[in-house]
Amino acid sequence: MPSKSPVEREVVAGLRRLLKRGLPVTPAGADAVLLDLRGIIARAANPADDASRTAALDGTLRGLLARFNDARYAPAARALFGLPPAEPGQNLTVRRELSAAQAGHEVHHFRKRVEPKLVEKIAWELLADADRFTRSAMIAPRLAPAANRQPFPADPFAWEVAEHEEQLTRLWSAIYAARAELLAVERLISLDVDRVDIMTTAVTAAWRWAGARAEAISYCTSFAPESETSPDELVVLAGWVPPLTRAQASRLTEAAAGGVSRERFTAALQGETGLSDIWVDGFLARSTAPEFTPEQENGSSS
Amino acid sequence: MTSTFTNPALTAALEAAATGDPRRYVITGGPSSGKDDLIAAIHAAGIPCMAEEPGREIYRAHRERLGRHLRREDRRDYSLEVLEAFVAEYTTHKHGTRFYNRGIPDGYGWDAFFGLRPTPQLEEATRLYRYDAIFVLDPLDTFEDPDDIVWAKDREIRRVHELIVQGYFDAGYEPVFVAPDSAAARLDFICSNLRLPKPSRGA
Repeated sequence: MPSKSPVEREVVAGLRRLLKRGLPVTPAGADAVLLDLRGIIARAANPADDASRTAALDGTLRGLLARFNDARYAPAARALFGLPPAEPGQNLTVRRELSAAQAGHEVHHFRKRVEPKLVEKIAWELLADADRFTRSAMIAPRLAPAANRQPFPADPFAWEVAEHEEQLTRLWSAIYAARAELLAVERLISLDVDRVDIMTTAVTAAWRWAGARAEAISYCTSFAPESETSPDELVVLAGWVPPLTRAQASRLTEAAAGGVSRERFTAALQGETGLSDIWVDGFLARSTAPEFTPEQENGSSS
Repeated sequence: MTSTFTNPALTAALEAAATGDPRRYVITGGPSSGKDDLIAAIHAAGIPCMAEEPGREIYRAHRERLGRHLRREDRRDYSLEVLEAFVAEYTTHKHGTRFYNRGIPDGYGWDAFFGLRPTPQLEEATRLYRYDAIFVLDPLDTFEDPDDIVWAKDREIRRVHELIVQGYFDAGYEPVFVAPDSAAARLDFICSNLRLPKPSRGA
């Protein structure tokens, strides 16, 4: 039988402490481990404020208890936490007696055998809820075979969600396209092909990399929550590129913005031989000078 | 399929309430919660109900005016315009029973979805204009198949739903959750909760 994870144990312990006072959750009764759950932070009107997170925890627990999916024990679980038929302010002993009666158990049996399971179930629901709120643009969305057409309901929320997925998909398409060209450059260098071929592929890689950076900036501006993921954290997932200053990275990005063709990209950079040399020589130098590391700065979006 | 039968007892109850104090009930939930089907069933049962959520038309108008999708900086204006429409819907109803296709506190969910703080206008409207009951339609898709939830949009739609629910808790309501079921069964559940005759009894 699988054992509980440390997080699950902490959430169970946090709920047990909360149970002493029951609902409504007060700042004194809310453990940090519960207030730090992603689902709670995401619901809080002001995530930096403990009172706001406490209100979010209260709402989340009420919602979970109202939808408790075990018909036999749902009234007992609600009463245990202080929802009707229990009343706010009742102590745990009174609530437990009510819960035991609701579940049709003798109170000592209920306390020892049933109550821990109810608390564990709520803890599991809280963790599952937190998982639903785990979002990271750093992970490409998995795709699944579409067996059916997936029409959207006529709903502004649904339209916004669709728009978000469209942008996320464009972003990852650009990141993978850049990755393909960066891999090709390294492969050609390793094959020791003609320098002209390497240069041509390196320019293609620059175009794709800069396009991915432009998409990442567009995505983060429109959709990514502040301070969670930066455009450069996203674009570095495509692979290593020669170290660039912020101005050089911005110059390449501007030339590639708007999904321009490779020809327009190179035309926009006509005459910028210094930048071209830094990019191409960076790859060629790296092949013989392994002291270059991927941690080196690639410029910033700001 | 929506029933077109009307329970005479329900009609009588609605007529009796028509000249009395206003009673306002909100139907809400995230996308894919079956809200449109339920609203259609409410109309078919002859219960007064808001036709279409005003947010849709306002959203379309904003997009048309901007010529692009709403960016972070546009969403506050959209949110305030939708709030204005919901307040107008609320205040024009003076007597009898009426259902609403979403309510003022849905604004909390919208704002939270976009990382915006609730506006003072939303807080004020929430305090002034109170509904008599809130019915939250839980999503029809329970995502029991793990493959279903890999779609970013499915996860996001579930997140929207939970943020809407939290908005109503934040607004001081205790929503009634309506489990996934047919629109007719859900409407029966809601009417029963409001001590109104069940529409299906007329079928």
